[in-house]
Amino acid sequence: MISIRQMNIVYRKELLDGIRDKRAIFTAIVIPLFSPLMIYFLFNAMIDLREDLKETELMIAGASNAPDLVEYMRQRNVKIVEFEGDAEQAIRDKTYNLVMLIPENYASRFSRSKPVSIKLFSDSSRQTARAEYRRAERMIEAYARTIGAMRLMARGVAPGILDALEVREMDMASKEDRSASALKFIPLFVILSAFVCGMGLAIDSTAGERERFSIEALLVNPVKRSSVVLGKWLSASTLAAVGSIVTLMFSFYVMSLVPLEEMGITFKPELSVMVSLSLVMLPLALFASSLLITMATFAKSFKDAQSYMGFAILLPMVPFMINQFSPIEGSWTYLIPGFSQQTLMENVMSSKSTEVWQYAASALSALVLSGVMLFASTKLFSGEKIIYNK
Amino acid sequence: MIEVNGLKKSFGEVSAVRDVSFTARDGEVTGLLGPNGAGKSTTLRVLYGLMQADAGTALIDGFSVEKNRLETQSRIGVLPDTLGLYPRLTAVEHIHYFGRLQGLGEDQLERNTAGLIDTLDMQGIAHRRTEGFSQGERMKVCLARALVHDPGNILLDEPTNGLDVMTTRSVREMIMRLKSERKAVLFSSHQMHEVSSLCDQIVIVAAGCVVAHGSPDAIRDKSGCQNLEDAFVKLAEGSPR
Repeated sequence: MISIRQMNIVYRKELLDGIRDKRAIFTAIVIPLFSPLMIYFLFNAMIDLREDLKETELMIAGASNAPDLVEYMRQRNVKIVEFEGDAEQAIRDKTYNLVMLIPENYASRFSRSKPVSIKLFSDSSRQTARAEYRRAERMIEAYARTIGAMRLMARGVAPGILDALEVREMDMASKEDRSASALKFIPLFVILSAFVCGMGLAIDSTAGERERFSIEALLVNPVKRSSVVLGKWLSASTLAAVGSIVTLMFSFYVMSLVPLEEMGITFKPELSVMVSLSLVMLPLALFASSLLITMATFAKSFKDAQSYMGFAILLPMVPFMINQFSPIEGSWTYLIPGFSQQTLMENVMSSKSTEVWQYAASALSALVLSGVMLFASTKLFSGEKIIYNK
Repeated sequence: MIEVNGLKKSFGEVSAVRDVSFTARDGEVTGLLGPNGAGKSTTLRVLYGLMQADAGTALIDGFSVEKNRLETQSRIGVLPDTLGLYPRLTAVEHIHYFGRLQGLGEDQLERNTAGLIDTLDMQGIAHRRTEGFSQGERMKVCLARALVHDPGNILLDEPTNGLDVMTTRSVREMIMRLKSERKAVLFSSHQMHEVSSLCDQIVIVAAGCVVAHGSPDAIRDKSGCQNLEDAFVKLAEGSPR
């Protein structure tokens, strides 16, 4: 049996105590405050990278030797810049990522149908240089194939004879998929908030209560141990829920400042989406707090409890890590707290279809596991050991 | 009224309490006297409802602590040997928290709190956070939160331990006041002079057993010593180890 009245008394006291705890509140606001900033810079960096690819500038030495090739490239959105000087030196000095060298004998060899060697100077250790290099290389190869085909036709040979096999890339990634991979960070930060924001209160109200010896006087009062545990749990859950919803709100606000469409992301940060994401989050905030409360009750001291917390945060990350190596799929995955919320939030944000049973399974499993955790910590609270350490 | 009968409690191999029986009547101050490790605190903790006895019974106003924990806990006011406070709550917030947990209504709570702040002379510290309180100030907060629900039985575990003269005096005054209100006061101590001046009845415990039980005069007569301190030493050392 639970006394709602007593639970409420404990809840209000712990919340008041928790809000006055400067150290705990500092840890609680770090993630809601910094994750939206990180998202902002991340998105902007991604936009910058794409824009680099859009307007390629190509340095060509000896462009006048091959007006046909240069014209071909210009038609394919490449801005040609005449290069003069030492190409190797320019790469080494990092002045340019790529310099193309067209030899003087281009015209004479070309007209005699002899191969012409075009040199591309670049530094493959530079990440941005590789993309530019591949783009230029592909363009030159395409041009060479066109010329080759024309030469064969002039000699009465079908040009297809050179292409025994042909590879065609069929990229099935939808626009939604591409935006999902960019939006993955938001659920991750929100889930992290659910674990971190209530942590200070969870430790202080259990391990801290023991360390200060206030637990003896507290439990002398005629209160059910379950009411005490539930009050502490709900106060930690309140901070966890508020923290993760604030993280969500800030992230949405930041995304409304980023030009999402330029990145090919169709997601629109709307209020209705935020409400459904918050509903997905709430059961996880309850579960996370029950886990933290139980671990901190089990710990022998405040320090001990703090060292368990690293483990507690790592626990929900385990399915993500396994998922990186071998994807875990199937309807049962909606029963894994943390993972199910991540999946649901990603699907909602990338406007994939979600079903009611998925929400229900995700919420129910989190609540059932919270119940198990709370039962365990009530057992711990009912013993003599928690008060007298004997 | 507090009644303890044939109490036994051991922790693994160590038996802390072997056989303790006594009665603390209403309107009397009963002193639980004994050297360190005699089993005083363990006896009190069983009475708080926080430890389960291996054998024997503990009754508060006739209710069994074991069977009716919540009922007995609402009839006692406890000052544990550790003065654990919440550093971020004010003195009044401590008193209110415990009063509410004891089931007091808000009107009653305000009245009792105001009365205790007055009695214990806490006006200056009432709305300060307890972080950095002196030992005496902490003691007052602990006393006030233990007495906020006006319990009929008061249990104090070494209440004057480590206190200055002024606070010791106010604790003694509080004990005499509670006695005049016809409450049963039970406190433990290892300081003879304190017990002899305050108590109507003394229970001497040594090595987990009651070795003497009665008024200060009866104890003196039993041991054949004029001085109560000598009597205590003689009785405590004569006990089976």
